[in-house]
Formats: sequence, C-alpha cells, structure tokens
Amino acid sequence: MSQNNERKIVTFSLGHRMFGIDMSMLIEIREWEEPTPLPKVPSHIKGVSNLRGTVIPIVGLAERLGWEPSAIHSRSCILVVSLAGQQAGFLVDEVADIVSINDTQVQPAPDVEIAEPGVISGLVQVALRGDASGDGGTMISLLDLEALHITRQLDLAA
Amino acid sequence: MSDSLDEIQAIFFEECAEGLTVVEAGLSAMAAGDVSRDTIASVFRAVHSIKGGSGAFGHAALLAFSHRFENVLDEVRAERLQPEPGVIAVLLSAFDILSDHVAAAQGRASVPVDGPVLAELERVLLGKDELQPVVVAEPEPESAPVDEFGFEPVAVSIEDFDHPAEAAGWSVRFRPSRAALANGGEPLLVIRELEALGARIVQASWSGLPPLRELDCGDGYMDWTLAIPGEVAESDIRDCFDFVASDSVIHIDRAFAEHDEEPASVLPAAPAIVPVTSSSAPAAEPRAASSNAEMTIRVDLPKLDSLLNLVGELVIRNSILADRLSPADQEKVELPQLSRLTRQIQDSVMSLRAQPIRQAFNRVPRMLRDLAAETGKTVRLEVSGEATEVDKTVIERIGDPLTHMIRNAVDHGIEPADRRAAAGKPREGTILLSAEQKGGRIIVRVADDGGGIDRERVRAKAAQKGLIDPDAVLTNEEIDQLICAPGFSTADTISNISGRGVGMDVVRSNIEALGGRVEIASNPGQGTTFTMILPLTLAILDGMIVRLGGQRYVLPLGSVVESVQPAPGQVQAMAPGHEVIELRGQYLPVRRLTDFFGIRAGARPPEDCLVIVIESDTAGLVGLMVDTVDDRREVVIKSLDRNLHPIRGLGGATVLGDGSIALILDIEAIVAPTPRDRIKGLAA
Amino acid sequence: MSKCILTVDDSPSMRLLLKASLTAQGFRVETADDGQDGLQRMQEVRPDLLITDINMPKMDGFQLIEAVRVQNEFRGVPILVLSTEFSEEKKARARAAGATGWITKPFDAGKLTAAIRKVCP
Repeated sequence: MSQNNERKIVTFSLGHRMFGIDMSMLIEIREWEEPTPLPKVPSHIKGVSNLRGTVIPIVGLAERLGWEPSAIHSRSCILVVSLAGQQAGFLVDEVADIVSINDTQVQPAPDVEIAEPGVISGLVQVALRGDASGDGGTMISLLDLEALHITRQLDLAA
Repeated sequence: MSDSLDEIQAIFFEECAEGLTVVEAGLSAMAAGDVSRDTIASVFRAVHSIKGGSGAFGHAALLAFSHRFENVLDEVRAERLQPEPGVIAVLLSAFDILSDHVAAAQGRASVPVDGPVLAELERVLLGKDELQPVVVAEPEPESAPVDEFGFEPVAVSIEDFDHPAEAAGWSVRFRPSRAALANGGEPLLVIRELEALGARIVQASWSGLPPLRELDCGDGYMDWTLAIPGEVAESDIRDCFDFVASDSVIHIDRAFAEHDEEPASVLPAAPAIVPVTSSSAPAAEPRAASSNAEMTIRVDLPKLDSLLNLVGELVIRNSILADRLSPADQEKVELPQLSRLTRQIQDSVMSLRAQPIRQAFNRVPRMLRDLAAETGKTVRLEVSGEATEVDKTVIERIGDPLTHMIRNAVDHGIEPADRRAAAGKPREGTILLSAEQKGGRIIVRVADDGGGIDRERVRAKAAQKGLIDPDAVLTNEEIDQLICAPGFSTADTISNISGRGVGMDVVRSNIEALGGRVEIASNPGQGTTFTMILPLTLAILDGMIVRLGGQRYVLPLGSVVESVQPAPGQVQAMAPGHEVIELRGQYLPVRRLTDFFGIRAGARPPEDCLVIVIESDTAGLVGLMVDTVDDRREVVIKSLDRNLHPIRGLGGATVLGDGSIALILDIEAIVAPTPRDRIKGLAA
Repeated sequence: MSKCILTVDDSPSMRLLLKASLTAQGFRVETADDGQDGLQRMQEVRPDLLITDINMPKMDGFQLIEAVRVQNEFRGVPILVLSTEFSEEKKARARAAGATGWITKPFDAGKLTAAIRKVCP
C-alpha cells in the first residue's frame, strides 16, 4: 500500500471508449483464442478456456456492459483477472498501457451509460504513450469488475 | 540405501526378460517372413531399452554387446540394411548371446564369449552400402558428450560496443531471440552461468521495449552487455550459449588462449548416482503391514491407475464386441453376463482409490461449536458411517455443500431452545450426519430434529418472487424443492451465517455439477433431512470422447451400454422432436444432444450419426445421438462452478492432452425433464 | 516449494532410476510411460521441467516435444531430452522440435543436476 494512494491501472479500449482496471487484480493478458462454447449461457459468456489447467469463463466485456459485441482482430486480447478468488477472462478491443494514478485524480462517475450500479467507480484523466491528442490526455472510466457478478447464475429470462 | 537401487535393478532385469521375449518373438516373425515396420521397431526398442538400462547399472559387457546389436537393428529399422534370411540368422545368434549376457549380468551365468557373433554383426554392417559414423562409436559412459544447452542469441550489430575497462578481457553482448525464449531458454540462467565464470553486467538495455499495446510477450526486447575476465576460455563462454540455432550468433570480442576447464566444475558437485541416498523405495513389493490387524497391502499408485486404464479398455472392447454380434447373438445370455462382470470389475477397481469420509466429517463438530456461539443454539451431533469409503476427491468436493447444509440446519431448521421446550422437545437440537454406500453411489444425509420446512412461508415467498403462480397447486415435495430454487431465500434479512441466503441453491447446483442430486424430506414440527446422492468417483472419469458439431464432449463411460450405427429407418420420429430407435425389438427414446444444447446446426440424418445407448437412473435406457466417437479416455474433471457457475447438463469440463477443453455431459440432466420447466409449467 | 519434474520414458527401470536420482536432489518427480501419456500428464502436472526419452511407442519424444510447444502456455517450459542416442541429426531434430537441451544416457547424476540447474533455477 503506497502512502500517497497511488495505484497502477491497466487501460484498454472497448470501441471508442477507454477503460481501466486496477492492476492488482490482473493475472495476465492473453492473446485472443477461440474459447470452447458453453450451452445455455447468456451471449456475453463466450465460453471457457484453459488457463494453465484451470477452466475459466471468457466474457465479452462490451456485450456484458450492454454494447455491441467486440469484433475480433489481431489486437484483441483477454484480460485474465482474479475477482474474489475466482478467475475469469474479459475480451477487450485493445490494451493501451499501464499508468499510475493517484486517488485524488479520480472524479466521480457521471450519469450512467451503464445500467448497473457500481460498475463504473470513477473517471480519471491520464496521459497514454502513443497518444495523438496533445491536450493533457485521455479520459478513462474505471471499471469495478466485481460489480458485474459474472459468476451469479443470471435468471435466464427467456 | 543401495537396497533401493537393487530393487530398481531387479525391475530392470524383469524388463530385460520381457524385452528378450519380445526380441525372440519379433525375430521369429521376421524369419517367418513378417518384416513389417512394427515388428522390426518392437525388436529395436526392446534391445535399445536393455542397452539403456545396462549402462545405467554398470553392466559393461552387456552394454557393449547390446550396443552393437542395436546398431545393426537400427540399420534394419532405417531400411539401410535389408532383413534377408542371412541377416536374420545373424540377429538370432545375437539374440542368444544377448540372453547370455543378461544372465551373466544377473550373476546366473558366466559372461559369454561374444567375439564371433560380434564379428558377424560387423560383417553384416559392412555388407550394406553406406556406413553411418554413429554405428562405429563405442559407448563409453565417460566420453558421453558434454551436456548441451543453450539459448539462441540473436545477431547484433557490431557498431555500438562497450569496451570493458580491462583491455585484456572479453566483452559479450547478446539478445535472446524469440526462438530461444520459445524453447524454454531463460536469459537469466545464461547470465548466471556467465557470472559463474566471472562475468559482470556492464549494461542492460530495454530501450527496445515498445509500449504495452505493441508488446509481443514471446519476443526478446532486452539486450545485455557483459564483461568477462580474460582468463576465461572462449569455449567456456560459448558453452553457455550452446545449442545455437543457425540464425543466431553471439558476439564475443577478443580471442584468447585455450584453457582447460569444464563448466560443470564451476557448479556445485552433486552426488553420483550410486549409492542412491533417497530412502523412498518404489513401493512395488507387496508386504503385508504387520502392525495392522486388517490385511492390507501397499500398492504403487501408478499400478492402480494403469489397472484402471485396462479396465476402461475392457469396457469399451466389450461394447465394440457387442456391436459386432448379430442381434440374435446379442441376446444370448453370455453377453449381458460379460457386460455385468466387466462393470463389476470396473467398480471394484475404482473403489481401490477410496478413503473414509470421516475426513470430511471432521470439520462439523467445530462448526457446530462456532454456530452455537453465534446463534445461541446448542446442537448435538451424531455421526454414522464415517468409515464409508469414498474417492478422495469426493471428500474434497463435499466439504462446501456440507458446510452449507449444516449451517442451514442450525440457522433455519433447529428452533431456539425455548420454542423447542414449548414443543416438548429437548432444548438441545440434534443433527444426524450419516454416510453409506449404496450401489454405485454415496448417500450422505444431514438430518435435523428441528421444526421442518415452514411450507406456508416457503410457498408465499416463492409466489412473491414470481417463481410460482400464486394459485398453483404443489405437492409438499415440490414446495420443499423450492428452497433450492435460484434467487430464493427464506431469510428476510440477509443472515451472516448462511451467507447471502443463497446457500441451498448453490448446494444443489454444486452437487448436480458433480453428477449427483439432492433430495429433501421434511416433517413439520419434527425435522428435515437433506440427502446428497453422489457418484462413487469424482476426480477422474472414465469417459468416452464424442464429437458433436465439431466440439468434443465427454460421456461418462459408466453409463454407456453400447453404441449403434443406425441403419436407415432404425430411428423414427414419433412426434416432432421425439425420436425413437428400434433396438432388438425395443423402442428407446432418442435425444439429440444438439437439441439439448440449443445448437442450431443443421440436423444430420440418423444414418450419419451414432446413437450411444446409455443407462440412466431416472429414465432407463436412452439413446443419445452424436456425430462420431473419438476414443475412450480417462479424464480429470475440472469443475465449472469454481470460476463460473454450474450449468445444467454439464458435469464439468476437462482439458485434453492438446490443451483444448471438452465439456463433460451430465447424463441425468440431459435425459430428465428440467424441474424448473415443471415449476414454470405450474405458473402457466 | 520444490520444483516439479515430469519424466517420460517407456522403460520402468529408467523411470525409477531417474525418479530416485532426482528425488534425492530435492525435486518432486512425476512420470509418464510414453509420449501420449506424457502429453496428458503435462496438463495435469504442469511441471517446471520436462525430461523425455526419444524412443517410445505410440508417440515418440520428438512428437511429444512438438505437441507441447504448440500450446502457448507451455512455451517457456524447459525441455530436456535424455537419450542413449547422440547423433547430430537427432539433436538437430530435437532442437527444431523445441527442446532446450540434450543429455546423453548413461548419465552421471552430477551432469544431470548441472544440466537441470542450467535450465531450471
């Protein structure tokens, strides 16, 4: 725990939006690999993959947040995270960079684009390497992945 | 100490005996005209094995002879030497001498005179067209080539060079290539080796490191420059980078005089292989444990696993055999008897891995004490059947469900002491924990003498949550099952103890995911009993790999009766979505797995599919339609609910040898109608 | 936590010998008796190091090494070939398949350990 509440954030894009998650929950970043599909699961659960012998679910993050499913391309990757003792992989469009932020820089989340409460825990402006914009950086939304409750069996409405 | 080596050597001699049998059989076959690749390969391998072991155990004469013998066999195997009768005759003589050598190595006979046969082998070798250099070499253990390792440094430009402070020293620069890293080459280890020679890092550069989004983790982006004292021989430095691929070069500046030093000497010395100080002897000898009253025997776990393998093999051959018989023959009494026997053998062998369930039960008393402190309810525990043997992974997997059920019993089942007294019950509640084995299943019961399930309250809650229609008519059993429905909780406030009140549906899902089921029996005012019914073995499943729509799935072999390739017309549709297959006069329902999983791929005609007949507990014999069958394999079950949640119809997943995932099918769930459908149906 | 080594060899006595030798050095040892079994065991055991023979029925050492290297997750695992053979062409083949190094049988425990320490700290 650093004294000035600094933490490292992994930033990535979903479509045109930029997001970040706390690096402490990141296990690894993997190349996209077609997962083994599961029957009778919501469409945002793409299937399961083999992570060093453990079977983990692969979630289409954009879909889970209610947007267009991510298209797969050469830069697509899976962020493998550990959430409350469970592991899961989230498909993102592109990983940008790892940045350090200070808690004081984080602004409260605005009116939500996302229906579920708590999923976006805040906004922060960061400077990303390779960024074309010269005006102080990019605004990223910090995601609280645990708030997505991936492992709760959702009542299948159909 | 050298006992264990003796034991291993004894096993080696057993292997030699087997190998000699193989050689003899193979050579006889060859003499009779069978010169197939397999036959020749089996002879080669047997002699090769004998050679390998003889070197390890120090039998020089045997080693030398078998090596020459092997050389000739290698030539035959590679088709550089034709196995004509003359050659085979020489091989047979060689075999005789080999047997004598083995006997001599065992001390059973004196070392044979092998000169003449060796000369014959030599003659046969020279008689062929090409001479391979490797054939001529004598195998000297001491002269075995030095270990070769290494990494593949990438050619780096000469321009910017860091000249070390000492003009007489070496400057080494390298950057591991992608290929080096891919082959397990670890730059750190190379550096350590160089450091062991006296090197120090002058510069480590990571300027080549791109931003994260462009990072290819399989590539090397760092390069190092090291300075090494001049006394170190260049060959020693190169040794550290050995196993060099053709596309990479290491840059070392300044040539120097040779020095005679083995890199291995710089590393800490390790004990020679004889004597082996390890005290763990492979427990291959059966020696009755004299300290136990019961007769027990120590068995090597791999032997058990291989026995399991063979039994599984037996089951599948059984199935194939049945398939080959004509329908009339299939009905004869011998076949079902054989199948039954095979299944019994399988069950027996599987039970050999079992351990008493006591281990899983041991946590309960402590749990009750903690719960007593939290709730103020004292509960007495009675345990029976704790010696019931279950597969060791049942013990591991049953822990959480058991915890949930005990907590539920104390939290919701057992009434507070005053209420109990008013009802004429002892103030202290009782929980009966029992385990027994019945058929191929383990039955674990948690029974409390509490107030039973408050059905009115459960029903009301379920209606309120929309799980049932308010005026639906439900039997008592159906109401009881509601407490396992997802999203249900009788606690109005989220209870600390039972977690978030989702205990029972998680328990049921977990048990079902393991291939079992949960039954509930409740008597108002008297108590509730939860029964978990689990299959005997969990961790390792003897499975049949089937293919469906390009995906592989695993069917538990224990449920498989036979597989049928339907003839045209054998499968008929009684009604849309309901097909049956006619099998020896009986009509069995057929389920298409594609339907169950909602796979929309075009339905293949039955004649292009395979129907696997399975025996289910709840629905009798059912046929499952799949595309093809791959093979039979023992798979390790990986639970889906660890990182996701249980999925109806799946008993987990497994990772196959090539890294891909195959889903394990839960037969009972596939053939039974879904309970949720039934409940929803009531709401309709 | 001691390192885990998976040894693959179709000769039971060789497996036992290796196991005794390596266990004495403080390693945990798992075994498999041919290439196919070895491949499955790789998934189950996930060793820090794989040591394999070449001549085995069903699936030989080269095929095993290739099948292991194809899987991304095993890319960085060191693989040593332990074989009585020592021809350059066999070594080249092993290298091409993705082996990290080659040790010739009969092996001296000291050399074996040194080799292991080189690829597996």
